Amino acid sequence: MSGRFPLFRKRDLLVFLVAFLLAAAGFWRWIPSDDALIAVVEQNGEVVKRVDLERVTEPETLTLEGDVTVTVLFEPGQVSITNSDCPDQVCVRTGVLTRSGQSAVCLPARVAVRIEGENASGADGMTG
Amino acid sequence: MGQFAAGFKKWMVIAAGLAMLLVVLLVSQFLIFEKDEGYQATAFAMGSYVQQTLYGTDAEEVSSDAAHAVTELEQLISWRVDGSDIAALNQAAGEEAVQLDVRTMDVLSRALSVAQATNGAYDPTVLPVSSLWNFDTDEPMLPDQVDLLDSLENVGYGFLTMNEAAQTASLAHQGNGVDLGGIGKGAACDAAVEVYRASDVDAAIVAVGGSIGLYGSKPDGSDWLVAVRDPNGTQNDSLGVLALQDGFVSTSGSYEKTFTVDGQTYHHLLDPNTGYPAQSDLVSVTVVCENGALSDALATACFVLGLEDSLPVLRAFDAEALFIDQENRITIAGDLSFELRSSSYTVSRQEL
Amino acid sequence: MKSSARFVAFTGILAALSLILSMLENLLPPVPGMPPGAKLGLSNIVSMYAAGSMGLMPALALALTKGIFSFVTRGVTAGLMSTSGAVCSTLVVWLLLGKCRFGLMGASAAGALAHNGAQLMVAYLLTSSAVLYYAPVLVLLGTASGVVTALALHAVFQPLERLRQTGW
Repeated sequence: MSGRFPLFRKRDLLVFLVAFLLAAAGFWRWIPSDDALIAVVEQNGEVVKRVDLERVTEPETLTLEGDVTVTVLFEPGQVSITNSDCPDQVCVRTGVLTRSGQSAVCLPARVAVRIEGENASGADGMTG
Repeated sequence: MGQFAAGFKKWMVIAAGLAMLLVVLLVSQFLIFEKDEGYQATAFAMGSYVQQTLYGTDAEEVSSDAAHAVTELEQLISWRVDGSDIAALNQAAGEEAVQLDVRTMDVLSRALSVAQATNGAYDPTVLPVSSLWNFDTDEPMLPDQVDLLDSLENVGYGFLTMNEAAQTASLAHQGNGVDLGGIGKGAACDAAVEVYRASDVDAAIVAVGGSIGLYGSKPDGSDWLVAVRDPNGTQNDSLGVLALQDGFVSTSGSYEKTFTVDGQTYHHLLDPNTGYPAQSDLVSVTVVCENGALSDALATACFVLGLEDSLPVLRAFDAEALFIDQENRITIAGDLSFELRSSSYTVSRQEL
Repeated sequence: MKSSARFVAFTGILAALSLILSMLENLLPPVPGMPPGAKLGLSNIVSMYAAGSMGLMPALALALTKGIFSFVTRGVTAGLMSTSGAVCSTLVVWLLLGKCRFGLMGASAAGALAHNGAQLMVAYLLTSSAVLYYAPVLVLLGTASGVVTALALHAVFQPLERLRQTGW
């Protein structure tokens, strides 16, 4: 009787192929696209400049004029605030940003530099 | 089954084929669906960098509404803004009660409740002292000791009277003043989350300075991960990660705003009872609870109180906390899920 | 099939078997780390047998019985998910096994996929988008559980056939 319904036929492979393709397509979605390293510079909450740090070959600076003047330095794969007229210098002391999710903020100048994407630690936010 | 007509069978085959096709199409649709990275928005408000990430419908519109709500709150509760509720209250000190917006009343009453529960370790009437230190500006300074002691006379939450029914508040004497700096960022998170609740977004996280509001659960259903800043590192260094469902998180750390005079470093977490930066052995306190304003005020209060005296307060407000002391010891009060990621610290737990 | 009474009785036995299998499966402790909705689907053995050996109508009747049972015992959400999953997988299995002459493994795996797919759809429509995150895992688990079910059916096929034809 079981000859009527054999356990396996060659055409069954079709089903497994489809299943494999569906799963592969699904897992593809899980792979984070971390190849791009986009630095975003904001002043007063507006995006002033976006730079793909992977494509930077020569160091390049951006000076943001305002009540407090801030200088941003783009280098291959990294970005930093190198100079600020602000008294606390918190932004300059933050140092070099190299990974997505990092940011350097100069509150007096209302300037923020951040690298797009998830926080470096895989976190959604940072307290402190 | 022979009794089925051949035509009927044919229809069934077609129906089954269509059903199968539908299922395959719908499933593949979801598989190819982009992973929801969330919509990000940033702004400056409440003297802080405001970052939002929203998941779901109308994210862009909702984020701008939330940012607007934060700015509105700032216009109400910042004592530095001319015409704000708090500016008016301070102006009328010793004279009359002032009518306040319902939002101001809410923040002020929470501030008062924490002040009462902590015997003034957090005190909203700290303005006479805090305005001498100027920590909320770019140029803080060391006050004259005599001025400081004089001003200390005017600090005390007992001077603040609130009338919930009439929606008014008053300060007892001229020279009293309210400064909601220690609660504003947390209250701003409340304002943003209130906007999220009334909207169609599924989930969102808002960070106002070091305070964080969490709403809903992420598209993948996992917990929110909130990194805790490493007090010995820069803005981008964290020592570990808290896994949380919705709620609010605030941190008070002595590293946030400091200045040094004659080799002595002063930080911005003032003890309202002495007028000077709090001398506990802590460097940072992170508080998690169901209200942003409370979490912010409690973080300040716990820093001033120190670990031991904080525990009953946390219990009273149904809050949990993470303390970091000067010897790099982390103490977690409550059941918080925390993953240490730095080798420089040790973790212990404290029952609440 | 000689008498319709015996046919109905046999369908009833299959329905009971199917319910018992799914109840047994619910008794198993959940495997840690598995996404919600990932199940072995033991009762699919019965639905597959019915779809292949008895025809579409009795198989659909079984699927609906299972769905109604879920409605009664576990509520509307579980009922909708169970019904949609069972009906879709029955249609697919019947089509592949009966009409397109696939093997047990292929039909079973496709049925499990259809089952998961339909449940996922209902879960998505009823609750949140959170479940979709697990879709690729469910595809793999569904295929695997389909293979297991096929092996099980292969083992019990002949006794079932004997029961159906001789009544013993």
